[in-house]
Amino acid sequence: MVLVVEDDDDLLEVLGLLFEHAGVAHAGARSLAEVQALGDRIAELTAVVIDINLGGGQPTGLDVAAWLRAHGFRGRVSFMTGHAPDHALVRAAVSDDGEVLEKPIDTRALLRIARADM
Amino acid sequence: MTTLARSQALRATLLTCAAIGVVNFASVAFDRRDHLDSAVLAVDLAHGVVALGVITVLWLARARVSTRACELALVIATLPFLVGIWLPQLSDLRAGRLSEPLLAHHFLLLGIAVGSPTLRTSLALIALFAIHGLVLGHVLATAGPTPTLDHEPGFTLLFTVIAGLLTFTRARRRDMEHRLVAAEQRARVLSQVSAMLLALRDRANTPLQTLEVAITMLEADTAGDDRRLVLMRRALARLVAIQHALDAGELRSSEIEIPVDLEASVRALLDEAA
Repeated sequence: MVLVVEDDDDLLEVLGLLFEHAGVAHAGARSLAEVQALGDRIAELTAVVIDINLGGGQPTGLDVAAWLRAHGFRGRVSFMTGHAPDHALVRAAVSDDGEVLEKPIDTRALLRIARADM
Repeated sequence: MTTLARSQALRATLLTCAAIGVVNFASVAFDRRDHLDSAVLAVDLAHGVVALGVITVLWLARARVSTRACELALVIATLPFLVGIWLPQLSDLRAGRLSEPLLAHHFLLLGIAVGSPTLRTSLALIALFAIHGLVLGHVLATAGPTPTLDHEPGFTLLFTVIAGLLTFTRARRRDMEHRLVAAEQRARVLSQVSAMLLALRDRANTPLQTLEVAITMLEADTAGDDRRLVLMRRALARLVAIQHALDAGELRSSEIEIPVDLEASVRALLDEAA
């Protein structure tokens, strides 16, 4: 199952439609709190696609990735970002061994990420 | 005229006027000629008061004083030297104890060179007091044999040249400082433009991603033969190109002339990207 963590409702919805259309099991969350609320479903995750910036004053995508790792997730982590490559969060994501994809990401690339572990 | 140039001119003028005041009041207190000749005393005292007055006016008006006002202030504070360094030499001549009569001129030339607020004031005053010194030397020389003037007018001309060179050196240094400040200001504005463009870019990328996915899904449903989707895809590609142009890495100073008007700069960049 692929987890999409994105604070923009429209993008979260359209990614859900995309994965549904492609037959990929998926879950969506807007924040770290919503990810934590997934509970046991986290064990089913094979890949996560996380927006780095989850809103001002909110835990970032890096925090989400760290929490998932701390709770046993060993799958592929892909970060999405609208920031420039030299943004501090993006640099941190790169140094965290995360895959960083700059928005707008080619839809086929997103599907490849989701299907990689199917 | 920049704020830096104005503040530099004000500082130089204040310091020079203060030095003029100190020299004149010191003469009143310690110069033997001031004690022996009431005219010399009166001139030095009046000159010291003028310098003090100029300093007071400049200080009170320091928030709005212009560079031109500083030039005028220096001229007012300096011109009394035309009398102030002439009279003591005539007094010495009459008393038969003439000694280095143009020494004051030489120091004054150097003082003007290092203390004038602008190039033109410095050059004008240097020329004036060089001529003044040469005329005084000539007057003293025609009054009788004066061994202390053996090296004149060569010495005065030498000091005039040195003062001129000092003046140009100061002007060049001032010019470089002004350019440096202008460059720093330009860099600050560019940095603001860059930050603004980055913010715009970041805000626009998420809806672009939504469009990208939605258009791809529609294309899959229509096998790519819908003209409306072709146009949407093309429009999306253009928007993405604009996004890339907004990348800070592409914002180089050579691409934006003088970004005084940020909105115009952004518009120019967007036009170029489109």
